[in-house]
Amino acid sequence: MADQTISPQLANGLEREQLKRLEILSIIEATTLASLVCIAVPLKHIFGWPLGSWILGPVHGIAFLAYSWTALQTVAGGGWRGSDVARLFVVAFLPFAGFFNISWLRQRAGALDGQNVE
Amino acid sequence: MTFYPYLVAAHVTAVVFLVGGLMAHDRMMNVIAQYPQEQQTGALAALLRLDRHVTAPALLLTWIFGLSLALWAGWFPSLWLMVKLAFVVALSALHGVQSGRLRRIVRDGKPAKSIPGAGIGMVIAMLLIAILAVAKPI
Repeated sequence: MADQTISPQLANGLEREQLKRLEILSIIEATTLASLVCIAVPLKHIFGWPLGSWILGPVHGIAFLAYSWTALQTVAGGGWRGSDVARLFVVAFLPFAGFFNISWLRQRAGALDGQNVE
Repeated sequence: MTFYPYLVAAHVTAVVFLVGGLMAHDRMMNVIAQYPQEQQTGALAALLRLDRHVTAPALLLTWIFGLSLALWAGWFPSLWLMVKLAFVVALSALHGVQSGRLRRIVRDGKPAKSIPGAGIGMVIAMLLIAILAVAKPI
């Protein structure tokens, strides 16, 4: 194997990509959860229209799994406090909470410029 | 003609790529760890690409096809499926940790190191998953 090293820019780019993926999945997870809880479930139980829940339930299930797995993958990379890890996983269970991840994750990505993750 | 056997075929194909990717990751990490640290980066980057382009999509498809099968056939109340799901969640979590550690090794320039016991854990989990899915003993 040839002698190779990875530049700090490339290393930070790797972390930024990971945070971007987590941000996108956070938006998708939060949107499907909010739609399920605020639209599909009331439609089913109040108006007797189950199709919305029938479709959105599995869609949110997959979005939840994808978000949780990406969150685990992200924190396994290191540099996360216990409270941050708890926050990442708790928001997956609360409607709309995932949207509060957006600015937080962008701040973390912004902090990578010129330095490693805290 | 039912769509069910085709869904099973798609699920099994995704599982083959997922477990192949997990095992390849573990074995390759062991081999890479034997090289001097300054010569590991290229192989680690290749492993990162394998993870991103093969193993991670296979994991997602495994879950999509698997959950579709369980919903389609009404397997959800079955005990064998619940136990199988526990092993599948453990394998998925192992992949998440494996993948995150790889990113940290590449990012921080640390020496490659595989997760102790991961290889045998995968084999045992896969054997139990196959028994639960095929024989449905419980």
